[in-house]
Amino acid sequence: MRRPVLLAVFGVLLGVVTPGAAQESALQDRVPADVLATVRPLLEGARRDSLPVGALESKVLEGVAKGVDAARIGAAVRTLAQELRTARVLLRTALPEAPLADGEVSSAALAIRQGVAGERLVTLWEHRPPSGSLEIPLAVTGELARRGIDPDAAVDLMGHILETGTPLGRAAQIPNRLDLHLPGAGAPQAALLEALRSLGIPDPPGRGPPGGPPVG
Amino acid sequence: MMRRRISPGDLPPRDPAAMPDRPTCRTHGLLGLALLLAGSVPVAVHGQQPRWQVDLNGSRIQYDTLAALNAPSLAASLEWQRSTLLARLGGSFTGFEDNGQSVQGRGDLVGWFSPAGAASPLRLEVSGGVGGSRHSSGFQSHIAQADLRLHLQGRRGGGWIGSGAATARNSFDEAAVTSFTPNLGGWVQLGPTRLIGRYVDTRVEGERFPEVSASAVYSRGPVDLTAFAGYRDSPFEEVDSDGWAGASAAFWLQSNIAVLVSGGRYAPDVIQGLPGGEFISLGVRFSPRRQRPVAPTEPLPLLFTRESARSGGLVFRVPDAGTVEVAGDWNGWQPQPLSRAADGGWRLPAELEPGVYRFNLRVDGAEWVVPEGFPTVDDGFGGQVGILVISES
Repeated sequence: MRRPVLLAVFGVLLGVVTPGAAQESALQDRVPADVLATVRPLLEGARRDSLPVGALESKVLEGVAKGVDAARIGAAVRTLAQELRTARVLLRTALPEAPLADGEVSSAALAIRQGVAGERLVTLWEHRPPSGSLEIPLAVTGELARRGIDPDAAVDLMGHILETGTPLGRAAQIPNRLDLHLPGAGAPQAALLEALRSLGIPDPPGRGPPGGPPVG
Repeated sequence: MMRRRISPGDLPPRDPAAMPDRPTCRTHGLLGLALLLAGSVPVAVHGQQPRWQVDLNGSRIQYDTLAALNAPSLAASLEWQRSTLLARLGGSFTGFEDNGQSVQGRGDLVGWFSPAGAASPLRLEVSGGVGGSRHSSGFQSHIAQADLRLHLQGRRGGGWIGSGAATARNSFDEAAVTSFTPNLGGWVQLGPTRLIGRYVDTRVEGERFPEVSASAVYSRGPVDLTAFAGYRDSPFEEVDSDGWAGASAAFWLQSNIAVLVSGGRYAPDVIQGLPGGEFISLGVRFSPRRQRPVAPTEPLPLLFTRESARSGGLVFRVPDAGTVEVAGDWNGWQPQPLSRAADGGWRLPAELEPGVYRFNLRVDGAEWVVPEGFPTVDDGFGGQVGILVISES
């Protein structure tokens, strides 16, 4: 096994670095030493657990940009790492064979933070487009729950949208439309129906009539 | 024979001590106007829960054939929807300054379906209704009508073509009058405003009364505004060609109570033979929840497409800012200056791949904010971070 070792040494001498080292190099250029010292163990643990390290590094850079001290950056990264770990373990346990993109894990973690049960989120993978990502649908689901829509209903709605092939661009506008209808509708679920109709999205089965009479 | 207009001498004899007879058309006018306004906007009834509404109004009305009079009224309506079927019941009670009263009622049933499938913009609408009125003097009128219309309905505009038929009678004329109303129209929505134009070719007993009309409905914040205008041509001397116009406003004090102000002129009813009039009205509306006549449009979408982001379509609204920088997941949180667009917004000159990004704007080098229209989440540092979604399409 001397040849691979020689190649690795040669690579180091030429400045070829491993992905983790490359990323840390990028952080070193922008992050104060005390912050780097605080977050390094967290990032290394995240890499070992196959978490979306990019999201954690982005959180570090966000804290630096906003002038936050090292301790608070460390706390925020620790919290985010735990959320990502929880989401990834849940998804991997329920979907041992499914590919999990970093964006999907991040969006799932956010949706769980916003009140959606992880066990229910898993059901969206049944409707995952063959070549698509659930990053945006998961983000929209979480946003609906944050606005007071029953989390299970939000998951059902997103599943219905994925199943019916509704363009994702239209579905992703639901939270904003919901914001506009909420003040007049009274109940979040009623506002959701109005939002769906204003976007021309059919109501989920059993969730209400498909729109009102035509204009005129 | 064309039904003639009602004149004061046509009404049954009254107590000489009372004020001169009045025709019963006044509440026809108010209710008819209310129904016109209500019928000119889409009804979005929530699920299977009925929606009711009660209006208390004080009005002053000048009929074409009579002096002005004061008329307080109480009007109520009830709607409920099941699948693609909508039912409406409405009624009103009006008191007159001469101690007379009038009651009116109407029921409508509207059904629609998609003849070419749910994804098609075509809708076929079938509706029918019956209504009637009765004055304390003994005058009565009744009408029954049905309509069939084919709609082409888009998200920002549409049109329809169709026809209706009606039969009406009143206590002055034993014979019922039959009419047909071929009609067509179109509508367009511009932001919070919907504009509707109509042409109706009313045919009553072989005579034509072509009519054009338009209405505009606006809804923003606590205010709903409606304006209408129209003109009808008449081949008869005894039925004038006539124009009408008016406006109404509802100011929602809370989600369930509004102040109503309206005024204008409403058209004569050539089918029931009722005169037109001018009116001004002030009232209060009670309803369990407000129903906007026009669905509001979003100030900014949650979602941008890859193409709109590449073509400089990513614009943020930041009022009163001297300089604006953006930092987010896509640029490593390195503040990047934005350029001011011609419309006053701040344009992001970046090409973003599809995904979900967290970001903030820094205004005037100091405050980190999330611009209007974007969802926010806790940033973990005591503030908020915005969510930007870029999609393929």
